Parts: sequence; C-alpha cells; structure tokens
Amino acid sequence: MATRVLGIGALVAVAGATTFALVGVAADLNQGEAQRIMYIHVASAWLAYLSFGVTAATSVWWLVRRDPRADAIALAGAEVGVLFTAATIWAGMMWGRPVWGTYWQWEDPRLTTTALLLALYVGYLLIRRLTDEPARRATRAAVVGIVAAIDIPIVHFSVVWWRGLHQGPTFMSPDTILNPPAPGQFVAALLLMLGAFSLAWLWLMVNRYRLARLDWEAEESARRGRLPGLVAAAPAPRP
Amino acid sequence: MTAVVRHLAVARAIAAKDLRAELRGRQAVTSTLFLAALTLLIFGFALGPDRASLAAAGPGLLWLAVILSGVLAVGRLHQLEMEDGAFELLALYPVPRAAIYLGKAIGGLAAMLALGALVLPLTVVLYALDVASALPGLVLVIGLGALGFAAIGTLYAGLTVRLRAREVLLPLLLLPVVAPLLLAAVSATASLLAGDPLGELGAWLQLLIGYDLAMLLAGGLTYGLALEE
Amino acid sequence: MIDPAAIGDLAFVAAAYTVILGGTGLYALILARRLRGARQATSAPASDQPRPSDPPIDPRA
Repeated sequence: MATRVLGIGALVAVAGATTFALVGVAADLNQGEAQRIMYIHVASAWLAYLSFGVTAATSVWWLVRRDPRADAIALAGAEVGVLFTAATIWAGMMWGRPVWGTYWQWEDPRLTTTALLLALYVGYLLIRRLTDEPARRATRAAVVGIVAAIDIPIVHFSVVWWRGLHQGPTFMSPDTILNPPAPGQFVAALLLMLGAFSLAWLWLMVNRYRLARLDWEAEESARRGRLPGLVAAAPAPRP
Repeated sequence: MTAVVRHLAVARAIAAKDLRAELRGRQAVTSTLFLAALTLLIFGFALGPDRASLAAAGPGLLWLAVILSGVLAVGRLHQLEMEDGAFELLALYPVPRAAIYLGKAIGGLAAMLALGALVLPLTVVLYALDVASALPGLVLVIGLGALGFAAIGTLYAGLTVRLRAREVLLPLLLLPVVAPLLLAAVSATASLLAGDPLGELGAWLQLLIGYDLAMLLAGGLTYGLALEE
Repeated sequence: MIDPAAIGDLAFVAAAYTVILGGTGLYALILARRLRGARQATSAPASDQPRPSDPPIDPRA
C-alpha cells in the first residue's frame, strides 16, 4: 500500500534528519548545543499551523457542503495539530531554559500564540467529544474551528504589539536561525527536518482521516440499526 | 431596507423580553454582579496588601473580574431560557437567525456593561486607582470590551447551551478566544490611567474595534447553525 | 571533544527530541491499532440485521 511506503519513508527520513541535526551539524557559536532543538521546534511549529489551517478550511467546507469527508479531515487536522503544537511548546521550553535561562517568556509571540493555539484546539476536540450525533458534532466543531482560525492572527498581532511596547533587554528568539541568514548547514538541517516531519505529518493525517471516516460510518449505521425499517435516522435523544 | 428594519425589530423584541424577564426576577445576570464584586474582594486577599502592587495590577484585575463573571452571565442568558423551554421556541420562530443573534447579543452587551459599571468604581475604591481624568476613555474601552465579549460569548453560549458539560465547556472555549480582547482592554486601561506615555492607546483601541467587528461577523453568520437541532 | 559546559545543554536537547519523537511515535502506534480495530469491526459486524451477502429471504420457504 502507498501509505505503508509513506510510513516507512517518513520513519527513515525522521531518523536521518534527527541524526544530522544532533551530530551532523555543528553547534551554534552563541547558543551552543541547545540550538539543535530549534530544528525540531520550527518544523513542529510550521506543521502545527498547517494542520490548523487545514481544520479551518475543511470546517468551512463542511458548513457549505455537509460532506462527511470534510469533517473527517478537520478532525484529523485538529488532533495532529494538537500533537505538533504540544511538541512546539515543549521544544520551545527545552530551548528556552538553557538559552534564556527560563522555561517561559511572555514576550515571545510564538510561544504565547502557540500556547493559545493549543487551548483553542483542545476546546475544539472537547466540544466534539461532548456531542454524540455526527452531523451536530461536525457543525458545532466547525463553528469553533472557524472562530479559532479568526482569533489566531488577532492573538499574534496583539502579542507582537505587547512585546514591542515593553521591549526588555534584547532576547533571542528561536527564529534567529534564519535572520540574519544562517550558515548553509543550519538551513539544510532545518529543511531536512521539515521535510521529514512533513512526511510523518502526511502519514498521520491520512490514517487519522481514514479512522475518522470508519468511525463516522460505524456511528451512522449504528443509528440506523437502532430504528429498523427507517432509511434515515430519526432525531436522536439530546446528546 | 425593510429587511434591516425587520432584523432590528426582531432583535429589539428579543432584547426587550430578556430585560423584562430580568427585571421580573429571573436573576440571570444580577447574581453575576455580586460574583464580580466578590471576585474583586478575593483578588485583594490573594494579591494584597501592598497598595502599590494592587494599584499596578488594577487594570488586569478589573478586566479579570468582568470577564470571569461575564462568562457566567452570557451562559445564564441562554441557559435559563433553555430550562424554560423558550430556547427551542426561539429557534422555531421564522425570523432571520442573525436577528435572533443580535437580540441575544444586545442582552449580553447590557449584562457586560452592567458588570463594567459595577466593577469600575469598585476597583477605584479597593485598589486605589485614580480614574478622574481618564473617565471618558475608560468608558469607551469598557464599552468596546463589553461589545467584543458579548459578541463571541453569545455565539458560544448558544453553541454550548444544549450540552451537559456546558458549565465547564463555555469558559474553556471562551477564555482562549477572548485572550486578545483581554490583552487589548487591559493595556488600553493601563495606558489611559498612566496618561498614555507610550502613545499606544490608539493601537489597542484599533485592536478592540477589529476584534469586535470580527466576532460580530462570526456570530451573525454562524449563530443560526448553533440554533438548529 | 565534548565541551563539559555543553553537557547540561545536551540534556535539554535529549529531552526535547526524545519526548517529541517518542510522543509522536506513540500516537502513530495507537492510531495504527485503532485503525486496525475499526477495519476489523466493519468486515465482521455484530449486527443481527440481514447482510447484503445473505441470500434473499424466500417467502415460499
């Protein structure tokens, strides 16, 4: 199966990218070994935001077309997104402790925005869990997903302004790898990690989507099964 | 033009009904006023007694009290209706969904403004804030904050009112979404009280207005989906 | 060789990579298992409704 190849490829790629990031690439002059965390941090962040973009877009698709596939992709995006968001925050904290001296930094827009992103999408998953009827669930979740997507840029801007006004002593951000232009091998390590993680992301999305479709079909046939003789399910008791 | 008039008439009718119910003792919002006052008192115990640090924390505590009580208020505005069975009737009325949203949101706005009107003088007293010169600006900020919170709070309250776990789910959904509103409102309040030394007030007001518009739009477009069963 | 001062930092690097890769791997394993379970459930349904593969009911029998 194609996905099996994808899975093995992802595994190999992640192993290779990790090896390169840990031993192949040189340490940074300023940040030392801790800078290696940055490769996995940035890669996770990009995929986290990509996942939530997917959820937002497919939420709109569900509301417009009521296509169960849209809801399945939205769910996959949110779950995988939560995974990569948690990874981003964890990596950020592991990087922050040696480099900033502290696990958390309120003025770093990425860290605070990502923490809020996590909260928003945990809420998304929670409202799904608390609704039994598949179509109702998809609609409620879609509203939450779209509001969350609208909120994130607003959050980002507000935190950037917040930082800009209260600029403390200059601190390093995990993104300084690319700004000013970093040595070629750093960029290579980042791109390698991003590519490997993207393969893993794709594998996770495809399989989570499949599981969601199977669950939906199982739920639908169970609802129909409870009321033999009816083609469409009657309204279920309040979830 | 008549469509707009119809929307407004429906919204007004719904808001008026909510107000009448409240005045007749429904206690959806009035109990949250007491809670807001209590929150401010408790904050004092938690963060005091140093007056200087309490005064510095004043803007934040003001908005925390408003928002935490506000979550309950918007929730109850839907919940009590639900318990009376009136919410289902509301959903069945052949009126534009956006008009229903507007009516409920006006009720929510009134609740939030009431909270703000109570919390502001209390914060002045309890945390020794000097608001005299900044009062007009503060009223504006409270108004904008109240509007944004009512806009998204009404939508999410309608979305969660039928769920068993709504008491936990509503704050869980609302608090992250209103984080930028909170940030902007607190920053604007603090800046007003300090005389806007950094010239940042305009930016925060813009953010509040942008937030309000975005949430009103989201609510107007999707509240109908929350109503349908 | 390895700068002794960097050993502390390496602990954070290790913590970052192991938790993230381990967590993702765990999620992938659970996902694969759930998927297998869901597929088996659809190919062997426990319902007592007539299945499409069953012969049509003969009213004369």
